[in-house]
Amino acid sequence: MSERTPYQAEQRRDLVVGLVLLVLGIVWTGIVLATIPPGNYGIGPRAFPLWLGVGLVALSAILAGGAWLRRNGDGEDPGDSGLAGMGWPVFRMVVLVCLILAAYGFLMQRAGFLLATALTVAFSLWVVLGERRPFLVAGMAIGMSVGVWLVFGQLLGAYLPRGTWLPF
Amino acid sequence: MDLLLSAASASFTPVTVAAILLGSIFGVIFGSIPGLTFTVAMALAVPLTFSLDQGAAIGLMLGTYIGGMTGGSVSSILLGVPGTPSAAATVLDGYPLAKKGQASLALGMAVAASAFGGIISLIVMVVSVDLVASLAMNFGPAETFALLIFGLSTICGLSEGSLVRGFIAGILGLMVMTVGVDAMDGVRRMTFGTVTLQQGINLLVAMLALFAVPHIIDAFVRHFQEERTTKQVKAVGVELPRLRDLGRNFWLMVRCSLMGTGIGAIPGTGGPVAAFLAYAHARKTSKNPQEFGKGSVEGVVAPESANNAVTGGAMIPLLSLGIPGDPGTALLLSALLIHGLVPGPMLFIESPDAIYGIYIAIILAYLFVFAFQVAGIRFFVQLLKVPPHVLAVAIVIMCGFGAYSVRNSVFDIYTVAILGAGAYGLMRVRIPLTPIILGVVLGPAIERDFRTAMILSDGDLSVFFSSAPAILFMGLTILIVGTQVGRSLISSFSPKTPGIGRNAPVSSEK
Amino acid sequence: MNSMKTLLAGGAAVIALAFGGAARAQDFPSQPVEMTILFGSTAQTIGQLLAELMSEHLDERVVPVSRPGGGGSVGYQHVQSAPADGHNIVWNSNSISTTYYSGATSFDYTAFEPIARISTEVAAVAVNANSGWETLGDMAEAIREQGRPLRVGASGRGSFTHLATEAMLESIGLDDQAIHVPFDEGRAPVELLAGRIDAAVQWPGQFISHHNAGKLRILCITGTERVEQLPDVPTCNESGAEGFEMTMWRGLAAPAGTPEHAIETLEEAARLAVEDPRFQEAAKTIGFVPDFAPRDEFGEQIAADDERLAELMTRLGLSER
Repeated sequence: MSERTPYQAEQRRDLVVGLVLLVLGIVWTGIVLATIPPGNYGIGPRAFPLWLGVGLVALSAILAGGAWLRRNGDGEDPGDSGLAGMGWPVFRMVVLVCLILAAYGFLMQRAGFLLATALTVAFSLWVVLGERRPFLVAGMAIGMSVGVWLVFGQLLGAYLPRGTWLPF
Repeated sequence: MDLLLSAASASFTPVTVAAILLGSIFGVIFGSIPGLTFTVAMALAVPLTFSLDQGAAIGLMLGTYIGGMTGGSVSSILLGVPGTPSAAATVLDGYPLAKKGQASLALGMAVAASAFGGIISLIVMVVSVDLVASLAMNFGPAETFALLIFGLSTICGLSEGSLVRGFIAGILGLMVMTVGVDAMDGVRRMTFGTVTLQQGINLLVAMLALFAVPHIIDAFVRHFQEERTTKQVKAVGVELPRLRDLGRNFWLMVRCSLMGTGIGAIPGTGGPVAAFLAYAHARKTSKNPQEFGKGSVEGVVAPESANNAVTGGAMIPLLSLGIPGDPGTALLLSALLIHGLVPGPMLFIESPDAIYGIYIAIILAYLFVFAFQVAGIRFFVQLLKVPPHVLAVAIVIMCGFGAYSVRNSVFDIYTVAILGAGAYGLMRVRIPLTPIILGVVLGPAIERDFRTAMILSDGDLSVFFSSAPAILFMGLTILIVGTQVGRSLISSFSPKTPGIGRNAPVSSEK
Repeated sequence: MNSMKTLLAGGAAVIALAFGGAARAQDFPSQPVEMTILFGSTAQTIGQLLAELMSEHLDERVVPVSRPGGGGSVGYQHVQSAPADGHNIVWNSNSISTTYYSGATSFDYTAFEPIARISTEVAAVAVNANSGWETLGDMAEAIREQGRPLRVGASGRGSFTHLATEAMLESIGLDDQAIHVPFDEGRAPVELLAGRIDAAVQWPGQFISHHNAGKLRILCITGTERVEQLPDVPTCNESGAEGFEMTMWRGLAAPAGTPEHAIETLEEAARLAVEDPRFQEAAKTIGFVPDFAPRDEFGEQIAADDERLAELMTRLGLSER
């Protein structure tokens, strides 16, 4: 088999996507059947999640099946998704952003809003993005944390977590 | 007329006007920042009203509500991240317009359409409050379900080519919203025995995950990929819409405003539904439907006039029946109560002056919001000069803070992180995100109304075809889905259809 | 980066040392008191007002923090696991019992120390004015005669209004001839007006305006005494549901183990807040009864109600305990 056309590569990817979603749908449906009671009257609490699970299974089967049938077909280049980058660096960045957000939430609860925000901004800019202009990094870190704290916390009265690590 | 004048003189006390102004600005700020919405702003405004008198208190709340609904378009257009769920439809064309360098035009059109929609809905409220209220009363669970499912059918138009992908996306959105405690039966669903998951997935949290996180990841990736070439700081021109642009869209705005008013008057629907339906309507009736999604002005005007018309629409059942349509108006209701106004049929008889006061406050709030936003456009667009990676870091913070402020729960930040990564993954494999947000927006209401209708009809499905509005919307839904599925099936099985990209069948000549 | 982290950590440690002593001292409150609010709408507004008024009598502010979800379980869980130093309190209600028995939380009311009862609320039973029913007795009779089920709107299963509905139906003998239609807050009056349901059980505030306009009729209220806003409306006991009574209380509680003096300070602030004319005024329009009770009395009521709700929920098949 010679080089795959972009169209064929797309079909292979759809096959994988369809199969992953198929598994997700089956697992979801299984959990729904195992944990949600059917209810006592009318359309109970189980019905909707169940129908959605079955729907997902059916649709992802169609997606995967269609892609399988077209795997050696011929068609237009589907074009890209409008997103930048490919492969490992992108995957790494997805994980990093996810972790930054989660760590921000965790820190906010523990170290309080001000410190958590300053740390998150500084870490993202300096370590993750490699920004080396000290004034920009410091300005953003202090500006974002103190700015939001002043405007929303003090002036507008929004609740900002104080954290449990520091006694003030 | 005398009443109006006496109410006017009563409303024009400096304190009341100042309260309306303050509320409007407060609302616009909360609305324009992704993650902060008018619901949060209104909850914060309630304690501020304790020390105010009735007129000023109501002015502050109304200003916040209206400002928050209008402000949502700012970040939709500039960042591609909606400021409030009601502004999610504005992203579809507002953001492409900004990318084309027409951010100020889009912002100007959005605020003009918003004010227009708000004022139209106010007029409807003044002239036909009883009529609209009785209309709302005729929308029982079955009719509301039909309307919502019709709203869901716009997925077909938002699927970006592949119907199967669109439906998958819609189902994923609906699935996400079933997590948590089922409000009707009190049953815990997909909570895996934890208390944390009983909160369920908040609409706003899902929205941040779908729009903001992919934006952040993409900006971070681009930062490395584009080899830090000197960032071309393009001069950001300020091009305000002219009256001619507004005139061209006049009837579209009128139609979308009326639509928004009607939808706002039906409890349990609200801004996002109105905005998406208006968007679908605009595309259907447009002379240039192919422009939609690429930066069509109509695609900004339609949702913005509709979502602001919802404010007036939602006031109708609130004032005349005492029924709040969403958490925001529920807070407005309790603020009215605490200041001695009991909404309901007696309000119009016992305190008509208060009603006129409310009308005047709405007009003033729109004037202030309009002036504030038009004046602000020059400053808002400066945001585009900020380097994208710095902006992305700021969005990380706003995501965290915004998600937290919804329910003061860290769980919501974790949810944004996890769902956001998932959303980015789906975007990569070209599952469209807009149907997901539609499923997320409509999911809880669709399930609730379907189940309630079935309980009321004792399990008889014909209830969905037993009244004029229900038949109309169910019929339209079946028509739309039927033709789309039919068309897609035909294109899949016919041997060779030129011009069908993604769904092109295996070519028989091979 | 490392140097910056060290710097920040160092700074934090210094500040912690400087302030650490203050927190251990006797004076309470030494920092803002977080009042967790479990529900939205009017419950939230009352809580916010209470917090505002309590702040005036304490050295630190009382900050209302909304933590809704899971019928109250999310907020209870948060406060229950928060430090028991008096700076974390919860604006609670009968939901502490219903969340426990429905299995949503793993702890019951004993996980909290009562501070004070603040208010009580009763639900109202309303019907469409066209029905011609004047009492619960009329309604029960008409339904039995027509041999059709009674459609009653209330909030979701396991909610206070649902439990009240079931208990009321039981006492008028309609429990196996009724269909519970769960509605979101606020939706029931429209359904009643439009004639899609026969009766609704909700907070009186939702019906009063329609009642006065002659569109709906409030048959009775679920408490033991008539309420000030509706002097002509009898209690359900008087209206044909003999022996039936359901009252919702709201109050403040802190995690078990909170020091005595902190509870006392908060109790006193709560008492002053409830007596404040602004609180009394708000009660009239929002529709609740300011009903302060000291912590001992409040604690007894929580325990008594818990037993009753447990029994009721078990009987209705809603208990998972």
